Amino acid sequence: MLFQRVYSDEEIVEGLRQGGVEANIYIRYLYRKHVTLIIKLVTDNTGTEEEARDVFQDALVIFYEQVRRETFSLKAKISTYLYAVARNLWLNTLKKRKLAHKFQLVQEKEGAGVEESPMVGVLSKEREWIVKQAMEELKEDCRKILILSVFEHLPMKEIYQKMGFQNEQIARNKKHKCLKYLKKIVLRNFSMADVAD
Amino acid sequence: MESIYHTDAFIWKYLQGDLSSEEQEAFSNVLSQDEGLQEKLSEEIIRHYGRLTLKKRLQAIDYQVQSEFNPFAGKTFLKMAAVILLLLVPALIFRSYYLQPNDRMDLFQAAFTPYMHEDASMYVQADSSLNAKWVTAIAHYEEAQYNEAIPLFQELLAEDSSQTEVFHFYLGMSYLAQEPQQLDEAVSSFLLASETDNPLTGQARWYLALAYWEKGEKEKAMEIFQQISKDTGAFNQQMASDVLSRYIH
Repeated sequence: MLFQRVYSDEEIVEGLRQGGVEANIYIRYLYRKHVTLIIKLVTDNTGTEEEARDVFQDALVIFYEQVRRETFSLKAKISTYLYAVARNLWLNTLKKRKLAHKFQLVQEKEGAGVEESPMVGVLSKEREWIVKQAMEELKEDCRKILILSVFEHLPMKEIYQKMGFQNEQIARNKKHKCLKYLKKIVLRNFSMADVAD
Repeated sequence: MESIYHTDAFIWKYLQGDLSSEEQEAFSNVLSQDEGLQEKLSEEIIRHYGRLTLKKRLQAIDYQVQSEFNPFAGKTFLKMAAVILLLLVPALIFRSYYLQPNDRMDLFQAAFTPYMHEDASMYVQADSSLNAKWVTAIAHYEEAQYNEAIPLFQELLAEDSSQTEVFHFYLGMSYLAQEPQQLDEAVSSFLLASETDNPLTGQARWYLALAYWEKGEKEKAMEIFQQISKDTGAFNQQMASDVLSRYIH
């Protein structure tokens, strides 16, 4: 990138809150700006560059989810937030590998102001396949309305405009119907999986 | 009634398959009868799917960022930029000194904006082996990096025949939006993209008309604008009517 515009943390948070195409610009900006910091953190603590990139992507997913919540307020610099989340994620990985003692507990104070992370983790291939199957069995518009509402936390008044529904109530009914259908799929697929386990 | 099974941590453990066999059996029993728990589990599945989709986008960005850091890629970019500048500067000088503003230019400037879909990644299945390339191509396109997007769309066309029209459409958009434009290539791509009934047929017709207009083939453009203006619910139907009333005499 020859000409990269510089965004403030506030602009980035505002941009991520817009979602859709607009948010992509800010996600890419965050990626370019902070990836090297996290690569250094992980590779200085027995990890590989590939593992570092994976950790950074998980940290960004967590940050994105937090920003999309109405209750979110930025209490620290974004770099501090990402560093603290990545640090916790990597420390957990090392604990699982019984290598936590090798972690250099640097910049402990930098985690101040960072909220608890939501559940982010890796599912086994079988479980991940069930999750994907369940979601991909839904029709495109159903999958979209559920993701916009539940993952992106977009209010119904924005969803109905974004998806071209006539009004908010129609969008609400659609979401209700789609969630009901997903519940059926989930119940069926997971019952089968539990029996197989 | 809310119980330990309704907590996020327990639901997550269930999703991970980390419960003991007794816990799993108890959870399954409650799940089969408790609609509230079914809803909570479904919502956790939606969130997890959202995260997977976002992570795919991030992996594509990572691929893109690594290419940018590659010094060879950088030199290639600079060479391409120099070539574009060499082509562009004389063209701009020629335009500003010898060409007067006219209908052809005005219409295109007024009516053209690069097509943006709020979630173009949906056109290729998330678990497809080509998804990363597609997401990267779209990311370049959305950032107006058409020189980077075009070869990726071409590769996708060579590798996957299931979404041909979508790839042709975005390839055509890139040819039309880039400077300098490649109008013959844009027309040919839009023709291929609008051959069959597909999710982007309407859009392909609109941009095909603009590409014809930009090429100076007014009659062909006019014919398509007229078709669009008469087609109820067509992409940019109203705009096509406006174009006909304002620019075509």
